[in-house]
Amino acid sequence: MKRHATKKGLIITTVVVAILAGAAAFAYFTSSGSGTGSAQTGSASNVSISQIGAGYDSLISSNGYQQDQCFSCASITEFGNDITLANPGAQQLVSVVVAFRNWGSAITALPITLSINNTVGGPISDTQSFSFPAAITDGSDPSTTNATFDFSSQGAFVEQEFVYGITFDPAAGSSLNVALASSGTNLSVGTDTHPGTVWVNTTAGLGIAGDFPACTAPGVGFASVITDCGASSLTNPGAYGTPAQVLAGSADIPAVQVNVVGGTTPPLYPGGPAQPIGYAITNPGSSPVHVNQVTTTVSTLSNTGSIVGDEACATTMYPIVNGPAVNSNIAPGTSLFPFSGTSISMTDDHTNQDNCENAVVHLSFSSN
Amino acid sequence: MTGRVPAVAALGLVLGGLIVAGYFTDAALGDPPHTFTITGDASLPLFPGTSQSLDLVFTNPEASPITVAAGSVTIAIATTQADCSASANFAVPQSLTTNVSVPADSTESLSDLSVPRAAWPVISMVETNVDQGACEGAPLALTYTGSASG
Repeated sequence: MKRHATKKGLIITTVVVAILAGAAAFAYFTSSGSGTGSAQTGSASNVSISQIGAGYDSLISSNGYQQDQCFSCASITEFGNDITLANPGAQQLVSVVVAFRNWGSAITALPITLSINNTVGGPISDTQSFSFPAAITDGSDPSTTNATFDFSSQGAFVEQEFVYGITFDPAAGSSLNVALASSGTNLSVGTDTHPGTVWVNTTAGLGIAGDFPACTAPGVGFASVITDCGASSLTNPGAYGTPAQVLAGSADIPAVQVNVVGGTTPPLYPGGPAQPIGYAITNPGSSPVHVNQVTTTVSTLSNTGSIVGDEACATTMYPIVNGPAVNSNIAPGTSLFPFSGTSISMTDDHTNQDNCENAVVHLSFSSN
Repeated sequence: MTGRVPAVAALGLVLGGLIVAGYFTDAALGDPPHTFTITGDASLPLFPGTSQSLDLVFTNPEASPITVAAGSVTIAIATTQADCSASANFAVPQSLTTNVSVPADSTESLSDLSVPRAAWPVISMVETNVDQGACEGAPLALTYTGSASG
């Protein structure tokens, strides 16, 4: 009996499966779909191109520095100044170049920090490791190096006036000094906000270890100190001192160049070195714009002289070598090209070019 | 008892077979083909080197749900803008990458159906590294075709 009952169960199961198979086949069908849609390509916005250049420049192009500020011998841990950029308003910071002089053996990978305390978005800093060649003659003829602090990736905007500070370990860089320039004769772009002062963080006392005038008193922490309260220190002639001494060429401010969007090219001289021209491309739209070649030309000159008998100052005296094509998509916002490969120089005509002295060279940028 | 087993089983198979046969017959008699529609526009403009995911909308007029299979939707891109070659400047780097079930008698977008955006079809404008100004502002016509089962 059990065997028969099992067979009946098998029969019922077989029938159910067959019907289900049929039902499933009936429910299955295929269908085709079609339809349309649309899309559109965007329209490119016109980009604007601004020069990247110095908003403040106290570097001496020939590296002809006469003075510098020692850190280790004046117990200084931070040294800087309050400066004012040439153009008004907040400006995008690209880089800061500081001139150093090394009086001793070569220095390798010394971390140095440049800080700015009052940017639009708060304090910013950049720390990089720099190497410095040994002195040309140890102890008497220093090597000079321009160290560049690259802020281009930070997108920071600085106010027209700000205080900067340079920091490194005096023990690790005992032979390294910050080069000094004269606010009276070497400041080519921007201004020294408070002449006769610099900013110092030191544990030294009055006269700050004999490097400053005897009347110079340290502040608390990183603070402004007065450098023109008296004559230069007898042990450090040519540094700081009275306003008359500064006007006569006494070096009193750190040798620094601050590069910003909207800045200018350092001074040009007949037959002098070509100066690089960087630029910033601003895309005001919301989508990338392709930029191929940026072409820089001299559009006009202003503030030229009119000395009768001297050669007239002409745009042709300022040849420009354009760099390679950008050939990339520029994202919305501002993209920086500080090392564009473009440069400008001033020809030496071997004649009197005094009519170009203090001339302002206006540049024009175009792109395709 | 033993002799009745094949007879009943055969009956079941025959019934099933008739039903299956009825499906094919139904089609052969000229019922309208089962169709669904696909629509969908790009929400943002394309620029060289950029892509857009398409939130396709499926309309299923049938009385039963359908399943649009992954990879079964094709997209053709055309433009009438002079000197702008659609084949040279536009591409479909990704089709629908997941099966999508569309309920009966409904119109649903991929987002309505909670299909992850990563699975949506994608169209792109190719960065050709040459001047693509001829395609600036070009209107693009998208034509969809697809198949489904259900």
